[in-house]
Amino acid sequence: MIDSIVGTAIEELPEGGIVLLETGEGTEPEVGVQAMRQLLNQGYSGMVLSAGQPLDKLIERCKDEDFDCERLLILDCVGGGAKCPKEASDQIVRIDDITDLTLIVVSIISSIKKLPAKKFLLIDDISAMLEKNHPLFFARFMHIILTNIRNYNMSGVLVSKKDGINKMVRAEIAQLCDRVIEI
Amino acid sequence: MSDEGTDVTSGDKEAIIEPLVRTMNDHPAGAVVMLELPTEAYFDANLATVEGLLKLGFEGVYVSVNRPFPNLVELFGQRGIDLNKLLFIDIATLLADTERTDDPRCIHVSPEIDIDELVRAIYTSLERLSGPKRFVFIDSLTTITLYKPLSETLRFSEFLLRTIRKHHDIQNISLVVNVAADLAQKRFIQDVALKVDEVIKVSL
Repeated sequence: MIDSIVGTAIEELPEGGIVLLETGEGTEPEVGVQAMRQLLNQGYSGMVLSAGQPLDKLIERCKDEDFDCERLLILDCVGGGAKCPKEASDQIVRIDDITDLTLIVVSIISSIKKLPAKKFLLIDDISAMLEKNHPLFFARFMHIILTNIRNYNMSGVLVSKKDGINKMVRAEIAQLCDRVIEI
Repeated sequence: MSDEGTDVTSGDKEAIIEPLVRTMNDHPAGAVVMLELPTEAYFDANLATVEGLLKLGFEGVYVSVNRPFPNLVELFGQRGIDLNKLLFIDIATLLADTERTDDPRCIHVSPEIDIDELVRAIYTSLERLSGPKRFVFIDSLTTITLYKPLSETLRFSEFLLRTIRKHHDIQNISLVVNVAADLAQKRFIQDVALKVDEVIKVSL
């Protein structure tokens, strides 16, 4: 069910477009993985800002799904990568502190430039990031990131819990997107 | 799946344009309008607002806080909106500290975004437009508050409002400020709403 809904959402996303996918509690990781799969299937290369699940779990899912990890860069804000295979280490940038939004911005922007054309940024759990950050700083961070990816004509997929998220921040983010889709 | 961000249909566009036309007609010397737009279709509603104003024979200055200039140009082009009648002040690029685009239609202000300088830039831009009816369009007032203190954002809107009202009779300039409906309850937006000629609430 989730895979077909997310698949359609990504299929309909024009290159350079930004979509906010709002999910039910607990389904954020699955929505993120399915979005990643669809983007890779459509020939995108990109980066995942991973805030929703431990790195080893994410890697495991990528293996299960047989993703072409050569086209993926993971900015990991969660940790837990003890089982992370060595061959994947070039594709991983570790962010030790999820509240270090400046470092995350710098990491994303420097990585954008290295990606080939037809690129994406996937933030796999907006709500998890917001829980750990000041709402104003986080809303500003999102504005900076989304403005930058638009300048590089990069597609954006944002995954968030539908409920329990600061409404003002949600509205600030939603108004910057091209589409908001509830799953 | 419920898609809250479907494209704004022609019927939806009418829901924005019709009250805007009525307000402009009620204020022939120029109106100050706040539009409350659905958060989930915000940009499409923004586009419809500008399209509506251009159809009414306006030329204008688009103050873009939400999106960088190159993205706007691309999307305006895709929808066949005449860019020759628009000038842009790209605040989004400045706030996000990303690369600027050199284009004669894009006016830059200094990265500090001094409120007085911004109002001056808006006015200087208006002087470059030759049509009899002109507008200033601000795509999102609330986004400015992510970077500037509330007091400065309020000062900006009040200064701009005052300046535009002062020139109403001789210059026929209108001001349109858009706000996402989910943010319209913010106290400072309510303060600004008290000072405009009309608040138009659009539900699509």
